Amino acid sequence: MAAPMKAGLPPECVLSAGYVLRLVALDATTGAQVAGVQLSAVSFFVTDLVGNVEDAAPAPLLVPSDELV
Amino acid sequence: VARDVQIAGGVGAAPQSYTVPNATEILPRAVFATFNGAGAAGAFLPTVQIVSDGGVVVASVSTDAAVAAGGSASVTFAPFLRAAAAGGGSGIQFDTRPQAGGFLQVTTTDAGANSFNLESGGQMDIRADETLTVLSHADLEVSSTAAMTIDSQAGITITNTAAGVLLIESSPDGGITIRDQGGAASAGITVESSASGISVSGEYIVSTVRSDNFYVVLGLGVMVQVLNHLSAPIFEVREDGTIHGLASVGAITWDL
Repeated sequence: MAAPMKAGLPPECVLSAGYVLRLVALDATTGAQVAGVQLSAVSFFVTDLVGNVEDAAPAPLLVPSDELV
Repeated sequence: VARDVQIAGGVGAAPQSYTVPNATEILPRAVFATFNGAGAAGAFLPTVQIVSDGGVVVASVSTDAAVAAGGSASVTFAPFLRAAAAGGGSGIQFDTRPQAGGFLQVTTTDAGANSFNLESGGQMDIRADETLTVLSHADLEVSSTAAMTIDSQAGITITNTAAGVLLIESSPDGGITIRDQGGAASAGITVESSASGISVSGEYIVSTVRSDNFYVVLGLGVMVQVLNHLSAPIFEVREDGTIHGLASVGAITWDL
């Protein structure tokens, strides 16, 4: 059973093309990425200010972060 | 035209990213994900990062508490959210320690027996580096189903300022011992009464120190009297050394 948690998100932060929303697991002390964490049920709820984002976009829109760099 | 959309993702190892497509601007409203740490290398903070088109992290938002290795969490990130405890983790939390901060004040206003309860299934410690005050505006009851110890490094004062009796009472078979450990600087045991005298009821007053001697010390001009059951004096020893007995009985008989 996953424990429910919550955290703040910067309000009114408009992201333009090329910006990235990244989900990552970090070490609390070092800030380094922690390996072995699996993500599921990922959902970004956003306001599409232009109208080009597909609604309920399929999984391929989310890619492992390493492929971006 | 601006519209709200949901971008859903699948399952994959962290980190996972979504890149804003060309000719698009988005305003994140909420991010949700389940972080499964069954195979995690250690405890971790579920985090959302915003990375610029130049690859620079411009924001990194983590939960206040870490998820232990092997644990998992379903995390919601949204503007103005904070951890369940007030103050972003500086309030009261459970199953985590230590929790340190400048102060902690808890106030309840309901009347009744259950207005404020502190219960522990094990040992409970209440410690203060300065004065610890327990104030009750009604009866104060301190009870233990086992032994009770009051230990002080700087003296103990029990004061009763009301009209009620200050009572120290033992169980029928327990007895009461007031013991002075008799160090070099010991002042002994002093029992004082300001007005109504001191009553001692019992079969014996026994001294077991100073070679079984028992001393009654009389102040200047003071005497000690032995009374009968009607509180009438039978004889008295005065501080000047004279002994006086009842005139109706006659001289004291020295025949013991």
